Amino acid sequence: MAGLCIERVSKVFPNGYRVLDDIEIDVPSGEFLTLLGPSGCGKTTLLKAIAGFHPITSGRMLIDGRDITALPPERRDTAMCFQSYALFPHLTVAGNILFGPHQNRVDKNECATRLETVLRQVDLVAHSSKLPSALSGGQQQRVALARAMAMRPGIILFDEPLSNLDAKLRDQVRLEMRALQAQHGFTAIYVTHDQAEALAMSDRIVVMKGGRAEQIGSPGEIYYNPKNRFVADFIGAANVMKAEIIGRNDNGAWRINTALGELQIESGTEPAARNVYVCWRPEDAEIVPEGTTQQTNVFSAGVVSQAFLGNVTDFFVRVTPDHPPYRVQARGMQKLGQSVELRVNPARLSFLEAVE
Amino acid sequence: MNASTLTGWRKAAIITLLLLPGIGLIFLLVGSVIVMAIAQSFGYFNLAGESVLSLDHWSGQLANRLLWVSVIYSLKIAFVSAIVSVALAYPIALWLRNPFPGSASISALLKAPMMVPGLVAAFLFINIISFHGFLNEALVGLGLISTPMRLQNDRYGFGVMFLQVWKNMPFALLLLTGAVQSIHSDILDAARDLGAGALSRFRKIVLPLTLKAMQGALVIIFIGAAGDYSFQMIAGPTKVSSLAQYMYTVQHEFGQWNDAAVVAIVLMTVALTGSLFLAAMVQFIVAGRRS
Repeated sequence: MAGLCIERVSKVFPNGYRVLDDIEIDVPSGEFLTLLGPSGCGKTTLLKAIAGFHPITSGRMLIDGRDITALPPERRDTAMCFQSYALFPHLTVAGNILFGPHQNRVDKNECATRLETVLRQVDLVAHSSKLPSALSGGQQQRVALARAMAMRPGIILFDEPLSNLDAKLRDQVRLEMRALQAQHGFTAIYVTHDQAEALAMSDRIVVMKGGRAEQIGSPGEIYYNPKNRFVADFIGAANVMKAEIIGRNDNGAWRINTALGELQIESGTEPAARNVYVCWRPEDAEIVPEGTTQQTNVFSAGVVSQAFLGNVTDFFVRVTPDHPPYRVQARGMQKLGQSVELRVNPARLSFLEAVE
Repeated sequence: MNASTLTGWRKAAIITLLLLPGIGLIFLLVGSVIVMAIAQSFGYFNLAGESVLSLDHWSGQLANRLLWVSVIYSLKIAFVSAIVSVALAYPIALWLRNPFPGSASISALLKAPMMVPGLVAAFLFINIISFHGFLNEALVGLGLISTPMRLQNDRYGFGVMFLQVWKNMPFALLLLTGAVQSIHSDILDAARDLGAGALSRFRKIVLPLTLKAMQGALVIIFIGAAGDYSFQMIAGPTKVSSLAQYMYTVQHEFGQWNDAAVVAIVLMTVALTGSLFLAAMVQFIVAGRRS
């Protein structure tokens, strides 16, 4: 395993389009880092730049302190799992796995050891002599992972490796991959546009937009303390509203004036300006009994629509008809149009960027 | 016979009847010619005498040194033409794999020789390499040589091979471009990522994945070149005949239809076995690289 340092990396296409803009990320050895963002945000370009397939315009990349910026892919200490798996269709599972070690002139005994080890790790021992076309999607995905692992690289790069699997298999393979990464401790850079996948697998997440890293942090930080409206909205559902800072009360909570009235925020971060955006997650509001006025952050709203999801019910509520609807998740069902008292947990409200 | 067997027979009969108009016609056209040539080589369909079963034509021709010289010459021309055409087409197909400005025009230009009839190409070639052709005149004019070189109808058949490659390379390119383009970029990137340089990627990934197209190109070019008549007549050596040329000479100059039929059978056998050998050899070489 190896650490990766991405220093002020930018990439500009010949037509002037800046696909990567001043990216700066430090990935410690053994970390599972996810590049998350919508299509066209530059996450795959960054991954392929790390692999050496896309030359960068400026900046540099180091693996364990060694500058790899100008090195070709075959000379970097990385191995990639492609979205399409990119298995060699004319080679057996064993042939695919040993392609890299053979290229790197690993001796015969070592090749046999590596093959046996990775086949056992990905549970494909019985399939070693099969061609990729004879395997299921999940098995092919595991061959791709085994092929990368057999290289014993410092860093394994994953380009949306689960996107071709059905939902159930995706959940299963996701767990298997995370377990393998934890067991063997390889550094992993993982690209996905699936926020649930990113939250479930990562040590840290880089949320990207327009070639820039909008926020870097642990899944918890990203989810509960998004830096701006884009991150808040991209990771899960979020209720975003404008707020004016009134001041702080005796226990240190921020007092803010919003469309829902005066609310309190128990935030460890300072607001960026007097007028800022704030957000809260649908599950951070609860329906409280009517007349619960002694508590803070309570407001009344009418139920506009509701959807029973099994473990929880999704409500859309409006404070007044001219207000945008807010999304709340709670148990049970309400009558449409009924007024409910809602309380937002002050510790779960977070400051976003300043209102411009 | 049970019901299911009857159903199977009925199905087979229906399928055969449905295929008969297409396959039957092919069998009739191709098969009748081959059967007639075989029959003629054994003395039947004799246009210049009595039609009787005879092995004289075979024994006479097989003992004729000229036939074997022609066999070896045709094999040489066919092998070299097929292999060089494919060898030249591969790097061009790889170069044109990813589109770039002007790549469509270059591709079209490279395929242009397919539109030029073989005889026209041969005459144009002679215009260039003849004693007072463009090449000699230019070299003399530039002072690079003092007297024109004799390049036409060279004894080794280089001119014929050049023409075969010129004419057939675009065809190989046509087949190989499609095959090379069908290899997903990720597969080549994966090989590169796993440490394979350009040559390794070609040997271990591109060659095996385009093997069928390569074999197709080799077989078709080989068969065409083995049976060449027009290039040989215009630009070939004067002291050696290709099999097609020899067959024509036997029939036309000596009026020996049955002997010519023997040469025709030999020509078909050479084309078929030679091309299959070439395809098998390539299969063996490429398959041997798989690991």
